[in-house]
Amino acid sequence: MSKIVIKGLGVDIASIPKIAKLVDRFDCETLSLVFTDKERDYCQSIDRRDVAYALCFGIKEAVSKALGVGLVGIDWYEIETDLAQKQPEVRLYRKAEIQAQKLGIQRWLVDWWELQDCVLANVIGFSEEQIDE
Amino acid sequence: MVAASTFGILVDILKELGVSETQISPNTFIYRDLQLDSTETVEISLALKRRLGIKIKLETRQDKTLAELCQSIESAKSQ
Repeated sequence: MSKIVIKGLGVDIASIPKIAKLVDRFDCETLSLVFTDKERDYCQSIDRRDVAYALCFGIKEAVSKALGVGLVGIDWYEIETDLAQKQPEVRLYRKAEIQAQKLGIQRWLVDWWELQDCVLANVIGFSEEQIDE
Repeated sequence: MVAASTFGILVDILKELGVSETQISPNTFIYRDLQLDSTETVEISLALKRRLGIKIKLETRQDKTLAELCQSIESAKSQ
């Protein structure tokens, strides 16, 4: 038997037109400060590019909040989102991964909604712990 | 002391974001006075990377003035 223990919660709203403007203004190398190669490849490959970029941005901010440090101690590209899956997935690297380990976060659950010209992302960081019977 | 050229670049970037020049001075606080959101602060970081080739994080625990930001930029440029 195991139980799910919630270790962190985060929510964020990202403006689709603002993120689209950001993406249009800068080249790939500069954007790599925010988005990983995988994220850019995926977002550029789909019809709803602007929504995908805004969702990546919103999930990153939400995850940083769930990690309890915001983006003060973590770089944007250390939080990677995989939108190619049915449910968005989160992968962490370097400082973000270390912070998740400190909090005991093993997995992430991501939910999101598109509201007018914004994307609302909600993330839960949790662990599965064994229960002694 | 704020380097005039660095401050000028910062002013240009802020104006491109739609910030009025009347709001901009060395003592202006990024968050308290300009009320920039996370997209806008990222845009400043990306513009600094493109123009000067430096990496500056604007996400900080304490609000910074534009003069303090200029000092961080100068420090990053000299590294």
